[in-house]
Amino acid sequence: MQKRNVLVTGCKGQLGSELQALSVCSGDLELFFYDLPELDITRSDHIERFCRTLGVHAIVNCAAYTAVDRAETDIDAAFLVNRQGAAVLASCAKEHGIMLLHISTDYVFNGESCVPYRETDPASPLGVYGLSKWEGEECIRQIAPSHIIIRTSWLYSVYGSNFVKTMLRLGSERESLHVVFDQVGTPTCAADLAGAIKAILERYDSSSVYRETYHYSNEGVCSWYDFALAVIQARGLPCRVLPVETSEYPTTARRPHFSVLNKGKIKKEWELVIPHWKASLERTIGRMTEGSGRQGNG
Amino acid sequence: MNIMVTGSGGQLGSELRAAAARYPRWNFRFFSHAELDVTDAHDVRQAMRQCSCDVLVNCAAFTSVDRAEADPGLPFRVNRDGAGVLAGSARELDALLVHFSTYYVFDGMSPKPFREQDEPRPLGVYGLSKRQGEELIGKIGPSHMIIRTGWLYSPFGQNFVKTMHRLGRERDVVDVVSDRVGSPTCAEDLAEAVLCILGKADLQRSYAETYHYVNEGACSWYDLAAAVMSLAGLPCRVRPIESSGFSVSGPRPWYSVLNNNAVKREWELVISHWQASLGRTLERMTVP
Repeated sequence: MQKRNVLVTGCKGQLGSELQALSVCSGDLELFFYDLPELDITRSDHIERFCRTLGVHAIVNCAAYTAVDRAETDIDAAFLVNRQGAAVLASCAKEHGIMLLHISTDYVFNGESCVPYRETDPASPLGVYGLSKWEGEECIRQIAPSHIIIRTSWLYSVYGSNFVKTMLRLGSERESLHVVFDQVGTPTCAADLAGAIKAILERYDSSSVYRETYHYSNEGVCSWYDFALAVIQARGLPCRVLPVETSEYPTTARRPHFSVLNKGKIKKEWELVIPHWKASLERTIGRMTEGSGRQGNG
Repeated sequence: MNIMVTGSGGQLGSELRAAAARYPRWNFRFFSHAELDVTDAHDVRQAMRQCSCDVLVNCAAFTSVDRAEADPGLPFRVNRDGAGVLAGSARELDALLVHFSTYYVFDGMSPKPFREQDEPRPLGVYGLSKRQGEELIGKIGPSHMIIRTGWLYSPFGQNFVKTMHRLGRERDVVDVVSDRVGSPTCAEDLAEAVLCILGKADLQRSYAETYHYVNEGACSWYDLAAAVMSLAGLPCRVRPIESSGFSVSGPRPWYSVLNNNAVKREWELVISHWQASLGRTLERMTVP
């Protein structure tokens, strides 16, 4: 049986790390993981070399510039990675006739809706990060003949830095935490998203052409305040979590008030069952505890 | 202080009755719908005089959103005309009127929690009847506090939490909408908050206030159902569905989170997270 080789870019990030943590190969699928400095997605010579030497059948792009506040002033870097990088990958995918699976974000929307966003809703980013991701999506749609774009929200994992890890740290340092209650959305466990990506890679037909955008997050809805409280409670920290308004907690970049995504399309087309955000959060925090236990023993 | 409660057979009235035991220095009189019809001005005035009523807490309301659409007469009679009758009597007898209203006065078309000063725009008969009741109270002008709340539940009457608790014992799986977001509100917490406010209120003053009171946090109906199953230890699976696959006749707002900061600040209230209060209520429901 011929192996289907998949190149994963940005493998040191949260999602790339979770993809690596899943079984590396299953059936005829084999994943190859790379990140900076060997593989820079903004360098077409890098991508070319990997595609040729590995005989790649698909690319999963987990590389992104994700610092939402920093992007407001570090505009060029955000666009270089999120737009230019996406365009370079799309051109390579076109040249080699392979599928590009790309990750995007709820930040492509302005968050002024009151109904979970569908893939067909018009994009209207509020800031540099959202705009750079949206333009990256558009490059892929224009250039890559076969592509799957998955938008996700509030991503966290045992890897990298993310809201859950920040809350766990602050929760053990402080007596109380103030967290915004007027922004609602859905946390996404990067391990669950990695599982969904793996399911798609296992099932997609490499002779078909895909031109799809999907939304993926865990099930359910909460505010950042609810999310923080659940983190603190899952670890049993004695820290109080208090709700505040966005206006009381100013940030450089504007953030969407409503970023709930409608996941009906990806669930139906790929027959996915998505866990509730709280179940996945508790599982992830359990993994973090195990990890730190091992470190302590070692 | 003499406190008279109308509509005392409902969820809030029942919780006020339970909470009254903790306030032995106040005189409470409870009137169920059968004992006092809030649309009867003569009876209301007479009852208030007999109680020497200082505070009138109106828990009487027509709350069936679906039935309101089919038969608008009764919701307007209770929610608008009844509020007017109570406001008139409260004004005449110098009593403070505490009245409850609902997130249904808003259209639910906001991406962020509704504040008291946001423009009401009810979508259907129920919301309109409640909004007109609010307006009538304002126009008649007794000393009043209107408290709007959301997704109310308790061990009493009929509510979503009780329904899920029952279905969770009867079924292996329930489908619940995941695309409507709001704030569950424990009627026990709201009743306690009202009594706390009354303890601090200056009855010599004339109030004209509207507040939003909901538990802290936001979730979808699906999350609420899932929390009921998990807190009650029921093995029933909850599956998220879209509203379009679930037919309801009354128009319902999409987004109904209320911003409760004003009531918290003015009366120094600490409000529990919805999940903590839900856990407490479920325990009360399972104790025989």
